[in-house]
Amino acid sequence: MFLELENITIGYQSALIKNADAALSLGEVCLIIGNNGVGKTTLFRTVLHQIPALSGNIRIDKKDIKTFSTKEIAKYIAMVFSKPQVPAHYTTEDLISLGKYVHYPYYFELEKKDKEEVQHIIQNLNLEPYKDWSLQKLSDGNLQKAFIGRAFAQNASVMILDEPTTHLDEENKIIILKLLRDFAEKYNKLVLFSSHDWRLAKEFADKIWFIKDHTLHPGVAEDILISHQDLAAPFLFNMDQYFIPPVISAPLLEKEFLYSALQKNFKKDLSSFQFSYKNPFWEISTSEFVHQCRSFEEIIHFLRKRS
Amino acid sequence: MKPGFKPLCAAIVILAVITIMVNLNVGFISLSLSDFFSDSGHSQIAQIRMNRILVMALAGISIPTSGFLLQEYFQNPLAGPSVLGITSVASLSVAFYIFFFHDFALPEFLQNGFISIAAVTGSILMMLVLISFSNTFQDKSFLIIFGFLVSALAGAVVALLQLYADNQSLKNYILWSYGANQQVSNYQLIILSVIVFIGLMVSFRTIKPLIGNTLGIQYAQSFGVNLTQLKYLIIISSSLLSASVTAFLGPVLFIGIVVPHFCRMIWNPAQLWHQWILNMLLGIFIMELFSVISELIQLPLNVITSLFGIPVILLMLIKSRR
Repeated sequence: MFLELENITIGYQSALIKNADAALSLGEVCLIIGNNGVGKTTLFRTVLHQIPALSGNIRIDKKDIKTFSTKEIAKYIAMVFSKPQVPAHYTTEDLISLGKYVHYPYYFELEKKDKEEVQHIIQNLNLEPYKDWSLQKLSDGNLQKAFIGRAFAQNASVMILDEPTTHLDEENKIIILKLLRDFAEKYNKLVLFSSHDWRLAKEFADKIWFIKDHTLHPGVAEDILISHQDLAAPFLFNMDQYFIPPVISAPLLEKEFLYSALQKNFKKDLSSFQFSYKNPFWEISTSEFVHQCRSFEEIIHFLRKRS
Repeated sequence: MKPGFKPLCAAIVILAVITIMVNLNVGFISLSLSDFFSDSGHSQIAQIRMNRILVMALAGISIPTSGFLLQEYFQNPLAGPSVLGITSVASLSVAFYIFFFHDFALPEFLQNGFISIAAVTGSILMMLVLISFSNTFQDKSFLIIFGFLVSALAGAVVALLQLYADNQSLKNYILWSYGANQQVSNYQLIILSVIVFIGLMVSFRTIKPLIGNTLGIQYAQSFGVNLTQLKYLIIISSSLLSASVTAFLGPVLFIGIVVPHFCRMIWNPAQLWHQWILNMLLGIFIMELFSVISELIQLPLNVITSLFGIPVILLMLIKSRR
């Protein structure tokens, strides 16, 4: 195990996460989920040794992080923060070169071998056409790629990313997530990232750390999702307490959509209804009648008329 | 293909050497080469001009470097030595000295010496205040606000002093603030070079952490940059560099903002080591050039730098609005 949390409690004055035990090895991708303010960023900062843990130990490569200076930690962990400050004069290439910063003790000008590595990263990220662009002109997707490229260039065993997919469109989210997974697999690195897009991100993560009520639940991604039904069953979302869903027998997607259509339109008990999807129409039945509808519009219309 | 860094430096050095040569030859009396080396009738004037060249070179090194460091640290292209309030407190203590202690019958050379001491003392006091306060306030924008307020206060006190000052003192103060005090003795020159040298040594230590600081505090911390140490180094080096020159030349404004900006236009602004060197070289060239102009049209140095500097800053502002 490369990164180990042992009975760790983190937070500032009061504890945010208590007595967490978790471990990850190289080559793994781990997704951290939890609501805003549960302590995801605090956890990252604790792992970076920027703030002390309230109790417990964190080990990287079997060594306690308390024995590391922040400079030494930078050789193990590369960070990608959310909401970065974008420097006015930097080009994409300058930013990615900055990844090599921690490897130069005093003077900072790239050696030939590092320059080639930076060019290689630029090509891998498909940023070649933008390498001389000012960062401020880049699209959000390419800017995020450039910041991730900087972390690649740091050549650390662990990469931690704080919400790398926020503000991105679906296509760019997938590009970024795929990039992270490839990176972990190809170079045997450990990637730890937080995201609220967990429905998408779970497709790219081996492990999930789910933080709720000051507790960290670590495990294989799907195990964590299935054992926390409030996460795994998004179609059970309910805006109103008076809404009681009907019996629905349909494939997953149709089921989710029907639930969504019903729960926002009908604040009442629908448990006497039975819905079943007989492609291409829905069959609505009660003890009294059977009715067929071809669209959600028809279903809503029908139910409104009946009440 | 962009030209390399070394040819660029060489070109600036050549330009600087030419202006220095010209500068040696402007003035009321034309000198021959022998005046600089042998004990001829004009060798005293030659000595004065040599010192002028050296003072200008030192100013050209220190003011732009100080401005460059502050701009990089605050990530604000309009930051300069005057931003931290150092120049204005230096001016204030000079004003105090000129307006209150002018009655002491001191020999001329001591008089000038005391002005310098007053300015350096003022700057160092301000520096100490900044260091002690910066510990309680972590936010770096606080430093700018604090510097601005102190500048305004110092300016008000100076204005008050001017209102009640007698004519001779007022004239002395205004002459100093014009940067007209270009005749510097050997002794003063040595003090100036020592302070500038120390300031440069300290500034050398700030460049690497400044590079790590470009992406903001979070990233700087994750790179292992010691931010507290960086803050101290920036305050010490920029105030030493600007204080020394302020003491001898009066508040030389705008060079500290304009030169770093020019350097960013002619070379990749992300390469701070190169920028640091470039600032010194271009600074020497521009100060020597201004000194020549000042000699030719007989106007005080600070008037020249403002006349040339302010339009450039205005252009920068207009450009950055787009």
